[in-house]
Amino acid sequence: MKAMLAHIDNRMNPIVIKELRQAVNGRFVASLLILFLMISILTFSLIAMSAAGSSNVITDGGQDFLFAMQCVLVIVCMVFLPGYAGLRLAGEWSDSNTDLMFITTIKPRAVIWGKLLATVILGMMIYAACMPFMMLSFMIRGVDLPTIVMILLIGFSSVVIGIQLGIFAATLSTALGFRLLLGLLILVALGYLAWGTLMMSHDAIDFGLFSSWDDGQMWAFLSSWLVMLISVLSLLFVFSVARISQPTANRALPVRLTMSGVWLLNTILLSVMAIIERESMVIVVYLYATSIALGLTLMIVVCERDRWGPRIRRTIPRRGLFRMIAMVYYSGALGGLLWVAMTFGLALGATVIVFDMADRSSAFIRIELDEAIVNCTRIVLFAYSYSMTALLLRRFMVGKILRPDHTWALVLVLIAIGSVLPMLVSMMMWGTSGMWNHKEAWMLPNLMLLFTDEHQLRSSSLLFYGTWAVLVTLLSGPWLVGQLHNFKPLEPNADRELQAS
Amino acid sequence: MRIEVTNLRRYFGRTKAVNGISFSFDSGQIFGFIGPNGAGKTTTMRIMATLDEPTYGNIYINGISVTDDPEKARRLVGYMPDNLPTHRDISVHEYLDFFARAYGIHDPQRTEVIESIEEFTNLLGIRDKTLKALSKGMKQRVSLARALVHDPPLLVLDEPAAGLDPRARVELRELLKVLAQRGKAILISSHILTELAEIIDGAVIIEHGQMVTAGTIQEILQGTKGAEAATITKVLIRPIDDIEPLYRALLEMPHVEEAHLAGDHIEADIAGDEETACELLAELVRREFRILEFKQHRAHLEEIFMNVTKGHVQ
Repeated sequence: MKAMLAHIDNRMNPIVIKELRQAVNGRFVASLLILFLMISILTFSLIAMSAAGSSNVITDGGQDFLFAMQCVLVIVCMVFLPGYAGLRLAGEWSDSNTDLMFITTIKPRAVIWGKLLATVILGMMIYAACMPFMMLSFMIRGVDLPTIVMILLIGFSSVVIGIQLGIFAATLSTALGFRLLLGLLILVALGYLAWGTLMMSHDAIDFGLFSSWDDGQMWAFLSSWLVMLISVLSLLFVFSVARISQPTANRALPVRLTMSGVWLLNTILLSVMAIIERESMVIVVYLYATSIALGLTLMIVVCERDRWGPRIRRTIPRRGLFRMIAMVYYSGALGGLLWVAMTFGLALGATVIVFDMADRSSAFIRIELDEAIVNCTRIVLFAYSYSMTALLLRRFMVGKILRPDHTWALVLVLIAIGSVLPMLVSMMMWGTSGMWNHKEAWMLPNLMLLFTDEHQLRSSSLLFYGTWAVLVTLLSGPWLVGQLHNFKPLEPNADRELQAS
Repeated sequence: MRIEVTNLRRYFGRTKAVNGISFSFDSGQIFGFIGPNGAGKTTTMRIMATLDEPTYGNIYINGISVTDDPEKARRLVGYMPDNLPTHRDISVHEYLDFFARAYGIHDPQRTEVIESIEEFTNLLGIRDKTLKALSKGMKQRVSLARALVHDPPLLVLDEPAAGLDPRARVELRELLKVLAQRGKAILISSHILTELAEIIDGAVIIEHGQMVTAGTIQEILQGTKGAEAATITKVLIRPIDDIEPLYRALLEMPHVEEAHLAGDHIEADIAGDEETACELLAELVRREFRILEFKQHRAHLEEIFMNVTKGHVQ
């Protein structure tokens, strides 16, 4: 037994042990636990007192109590735990402080996993403290045990996503202003997550979603929830790992592999749902979601390196075909662009195939697919044109003042200029009357045009973005060729000679 | 074990932070890494600790490249950065235990290793104190203990004496001497050259990202004096009696190139090596001059540094 415990102790993630030791030594966790116990007792007392004079207690008093407890747990955990995890990581890690991350042989993956696991354990302690009170709702009646368990699980999994979100935020830029802005955004995101979780809990309690295990709707809901949980958690996890990995490492590999996996998982789930339910719109929504995600990805991939250091170049495959495949999964702007193009092509193909399998009957529905394809192509071309233009500008004009990893900011500035400036010029020249209908050429760079449902504008903008994309690609031709040329393995002992990169 | 830095270059855009540095040193040697602020010392040390990679060139630790095989190289390096431990709510012992675990050292070996390091770095008395309660000198000791926890053959210490009081400096110096005697290769950067001079076997002086000179202190001294000046030995002579007769006698002696009075002693340049200086002393004694002090005057590290650098900062 002692040997087994020693073995477990040796195998445990050092970060988890350190974090838990610090949590025990500090006052935060003890205070939080006591606070929770007090809130639980107070809530229980209030519900019990208010239900004492009501006939409700016989039928659904448990529902009110369960929901009240769920609100307290989710909101408080969603505020404190992500904040705790994020602040702890941000305090220990920055670009200038290498104290923890790289000096030892511990891997960045283990660091993030350790931080997540340690905070999840703290969350479990809080849940464990509240669970007996939540189970009391069963005794008050109005809610069944499976619902209580599922509500707890859903609430807890949302908290886990919140914790991972807090950790991810801590790995981002160290500039104070940006951190404050980011903190605000994260708070809003956590608020939405908590709100969504509570609404879902409320509906599940009200309609008894988890009371029947034979219900197909319940399984559809659970599988969607699980896929969403896995997707969001794994993406936030690999993004965090990539952020704290050394810049000299191939940070893109785990990120793009995970993104491919998440994309595939969602494609399979939504395809199955569309085919089983014979609901072709599911796959259309999937295509829109994929295109928006890929559009955002384009803004990020142009921030990546366009030179590979010796450590990465030593791992580039020597054979041509393998090298081409590897490029898609290596850090670098061109690799990212290729990955987006490949994924978008596959998503389009999957949509067309699944759409036909789900619904062949209606020509009207078919128009929906055609429109979705045009719109999604516009979204991706819009993002590509702006991102590549920003890359071009950075390389030729603002390279001295803008770091490559901040190119996304230039993309946003260009989108803002493209959306506002032509419109202002148009207004000055022709006034506001009829501007949208007759001077549409001035509206083409506008972001809002992506949301138009006017057929003519959609066609014009597709042509405009397509032409722009071709032009910017041609102008970037030498850079693209240079990227392909430079993506080659380092010759043995090349470090001993001075050679041009 | 040999540490070899070969044609190391690290460029940040157009800034050449390190531009073609090459030097080497062995186990048991303490090498000073000296240069003005912004000269490229920390960049070189970070590359050596595998925290950064060079644009060109490489560093080999016992034949293992820090670029090709950073994981293996990391096990051979104990790096002590210029920033101190920032962890709160954790005791000294827990902190060292965490790093020992992070290096994959399992119990019962882990407990033994930590205890021996705590004893060596004189941390046993404060092992249960939290890091936030420690003084800067104590934190530096904890930082050194952490760098030693996986018993690396190479120690890379970036400004370990910065901000320490005199007692802590002396303690650190003694610890480093003992570590070198135990066979560790130590690369240490510091601005306190007088401190360095007492412990280092050799030095690397860099400026503006470029190496100015490197080697053992003797090699550097010879290098700065030039080939011809290398045969000059400076001596300081203090007589117990009147200084004037001795001064006149020295000026007439064949090997004495130059002599001048400096208060109660004479500083003389002798054409020749240490052997010639010994002969000169014997001759003075033979002539019945009563000599209270006769010593070779060595150039200080500070003098060498001032002579070879120009004060460029990038």
